[in-house]
Amino acid sequence: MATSRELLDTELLRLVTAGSVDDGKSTLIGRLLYDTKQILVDQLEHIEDASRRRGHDYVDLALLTDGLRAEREQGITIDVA
Amino acid sequence: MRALSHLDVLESEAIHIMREVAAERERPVLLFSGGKDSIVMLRLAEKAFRPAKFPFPVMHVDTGHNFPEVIEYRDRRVAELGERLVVASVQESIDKGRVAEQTGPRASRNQLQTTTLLDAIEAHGFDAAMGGARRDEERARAKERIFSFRDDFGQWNPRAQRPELWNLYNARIRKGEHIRVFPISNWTELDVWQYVAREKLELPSIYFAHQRDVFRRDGMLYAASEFVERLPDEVPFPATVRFRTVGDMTCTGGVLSEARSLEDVVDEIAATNVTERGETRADDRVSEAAMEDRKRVGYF
Repeated sequence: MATSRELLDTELLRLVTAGSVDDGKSTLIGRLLYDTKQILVDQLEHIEDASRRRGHDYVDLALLTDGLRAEREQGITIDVA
Repeated sequence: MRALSHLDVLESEAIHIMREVAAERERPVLLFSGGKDSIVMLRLAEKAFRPAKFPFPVMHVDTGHNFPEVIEYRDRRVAELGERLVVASVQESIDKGRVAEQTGPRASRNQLQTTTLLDAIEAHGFDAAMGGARRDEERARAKERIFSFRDDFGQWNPRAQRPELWNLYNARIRKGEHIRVFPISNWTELDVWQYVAREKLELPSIYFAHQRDVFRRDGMLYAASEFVERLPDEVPFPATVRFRTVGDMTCTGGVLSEARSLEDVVDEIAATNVTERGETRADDRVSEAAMEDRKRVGYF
């Protein structure tokens, strides 16, 4: 586990993905966040629950980037600020 | 030359944003709740404008159900700074019949704040309201621009957000409209705590572990107070808690903690596996898009 002192020395990482519609850009970003342990327990529980309600039998990691109602309804990422 | 630390980068971004607001808008206001994020905002405003006075007043939307420690801190801090404090009171909005008080054990004035805030913005003619909201708090806040446009009715439309490229901010509005500005949008909870520690900022005592009577509801520990009606099986008991967020007493839960100093809290936050609002805020649990829905109608 990183100590708070180590965390103080971290730098910002900028990441770009490019691809066609439904290629999995958001899912990739979600997976990277998940694998690098950036997702906290309650956030993961929330998207597990949201995935289940959408009838998926898997956890849709793209929901991590799709926070707005319109994005979730249409299954697309409209905006990343 | 040593590269800027991530806190330096975040700090200079926030200072730039505040100065941009002061330069672009005629009547800005700084929203202040007495929470850690607003306390950081005050320090950033000092860095942006001292030795001059802030080019805006500080405004608190007071639900009347706040932690007394926070109100005491607010008055003392603003007086120390010698700045002007505007208090917009939810109680007054209720007395005037602008909003109706909720009743029952789950009553909260959280939603009522929206009307009070919008009324105050209109009454004072504010055209830019700066707040200490952060992207990592909540998914709707994550999607919002740093300069976020509000129409004549104070409403946010997430589908019609303005482009915001690099550090170019668009503050243009028509009369009656306003913008909300979030200078510390890109900070995380841990950044805020590290900054508080670095700047040696004083915080209200409820952020540190203390003994208090609490009761359990929905898996959270609420402070027992006259503002919250308890159900028959909700029996208060003493516990050592601290608060990760400071909202109204009716919607803010505490966490069991032994962290009594700033260093302890920073270590605790660095190791936590639950977000602050997930752990301590009832107001976001109403629905999947609870915050987005409130923001659309003008909530902060």
